[in-house]
Amino acid sequence: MRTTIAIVRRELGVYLTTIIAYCGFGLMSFMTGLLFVSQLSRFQQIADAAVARQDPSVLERMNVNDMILGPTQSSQLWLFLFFVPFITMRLIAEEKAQRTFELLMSSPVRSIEVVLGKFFAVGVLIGILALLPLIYPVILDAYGNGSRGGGAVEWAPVWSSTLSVFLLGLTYASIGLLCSSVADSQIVAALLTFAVLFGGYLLPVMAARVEGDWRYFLEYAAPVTHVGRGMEGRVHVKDLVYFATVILASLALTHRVVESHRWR
Amino acid sequence: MIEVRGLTKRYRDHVAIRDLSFTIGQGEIVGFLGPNGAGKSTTMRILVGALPATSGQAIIAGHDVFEDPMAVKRRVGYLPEIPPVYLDMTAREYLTFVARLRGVRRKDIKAEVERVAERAGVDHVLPRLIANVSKGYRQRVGIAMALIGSPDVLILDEPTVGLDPIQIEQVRKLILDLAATKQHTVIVSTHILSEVKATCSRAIIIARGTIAADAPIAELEAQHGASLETVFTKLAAA
Repeated sequence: MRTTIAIVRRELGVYLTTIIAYCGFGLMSFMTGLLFVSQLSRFQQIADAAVARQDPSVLERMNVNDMILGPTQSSQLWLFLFFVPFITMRLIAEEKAQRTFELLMSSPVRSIEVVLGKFFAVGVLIGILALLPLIYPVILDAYGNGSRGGGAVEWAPVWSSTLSVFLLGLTYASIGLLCSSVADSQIVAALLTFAVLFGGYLLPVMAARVEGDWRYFLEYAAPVTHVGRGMEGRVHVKDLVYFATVILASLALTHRVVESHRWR
Repeated sequence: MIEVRGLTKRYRDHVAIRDLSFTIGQGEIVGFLGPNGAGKSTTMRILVGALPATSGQAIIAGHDVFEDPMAVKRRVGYLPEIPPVYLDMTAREYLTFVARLRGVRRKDIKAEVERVAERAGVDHVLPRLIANVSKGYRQRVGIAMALIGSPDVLILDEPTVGLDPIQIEQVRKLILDLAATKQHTVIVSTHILSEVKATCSRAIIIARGTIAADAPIAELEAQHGASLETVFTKLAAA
């Protein structure tokens, strides 16, 4: 356990003392910020138009969760698709290239501790990235008013979206870690991760072209399906099970790959 | 302290080492000698548990390397041929990290890092990024790393490669100092003969994966009636 923490601290140190983490934070803030501002002004235009037409039914149906926060948070999914391969590519591939893997192999550290240490370190980064856009509901809640009094924001769907985004990030990170353990160079690791993640992104497109069990299977296999429900404010056990399964399977495979370096 | 019996390592069709057997006692400084590709590094990596053997047995400080690798790793300090240093860390951060990995108690870490840094002569580069220090210092940071936790056994794979003559002298002196304490059993691999003469009491000459000779250096020279150079060339070519 102590060695796991030592590895988490080292990996986080690398991310936070180099430009990598800040690129991610900056990009995440910029992208979500851009979407937030544009969705907010669209919301205002529609509201103004409804007021001008004196159409209260439109105003009643409008809410900031669906029209502003939803699109803003869903942009995180895209960002993870491109950013996670960059942060996970170095995890194990770099150790192999720099020959520092030998240190871990000859230290009194179990393979599983190495794998978990690296995964948790990325998990912390993903957690920060998932939490960054919470600034927007805070702003809306501070300045907006709900139609029935109270704040403008309904918090339950915000939390469930944040949880979904976080779980998706962790899932991507576990896949990235696996790819990094298989690849010998960082570039290969990043490309491989991106290929796998992008493939997962395309699954719903493929699902739309087939029928029956295959369709059900492809839809279930696509990460987007499971995030989607969370984004709408529904936390299903089957979605949590899906994320847990992919994460645990990837970590178990990574463990096997790392372990295999001991008998190659 | 170190007992190796019938150690063999095969990579598919290629046999890296064949049926190695030797014993090294507590406090001995042994030179592991051989031309490049003779199987020195392979043997060392097996001894530290970084690589499994195809067959055979290795016991270090009473623990079988294959049965109980964790116990062995806690008792062995290992410096690979290329020092496994993280270029993006300072020497202090790096040594602290390794101390944590090796299970040094939290309150002792700072003192331990200072101790090994002073021992390896890198105390004044502790605050510098490893990427910015010379190759010689990187090598010595590697040696400091191997010393963390005062392991019973030190395994140094070509510790003087790439160093300038003054640094080589310093590393040799360091090994001799360690030898003088009698606390560490040291294996130094090298293909530089003068190094073995300068630091070791005994040489194991290994050629094409088998042991060609295993005797105190003086005895080797007496036996073959020549200097170590001649003995080495003769045995390695045989």
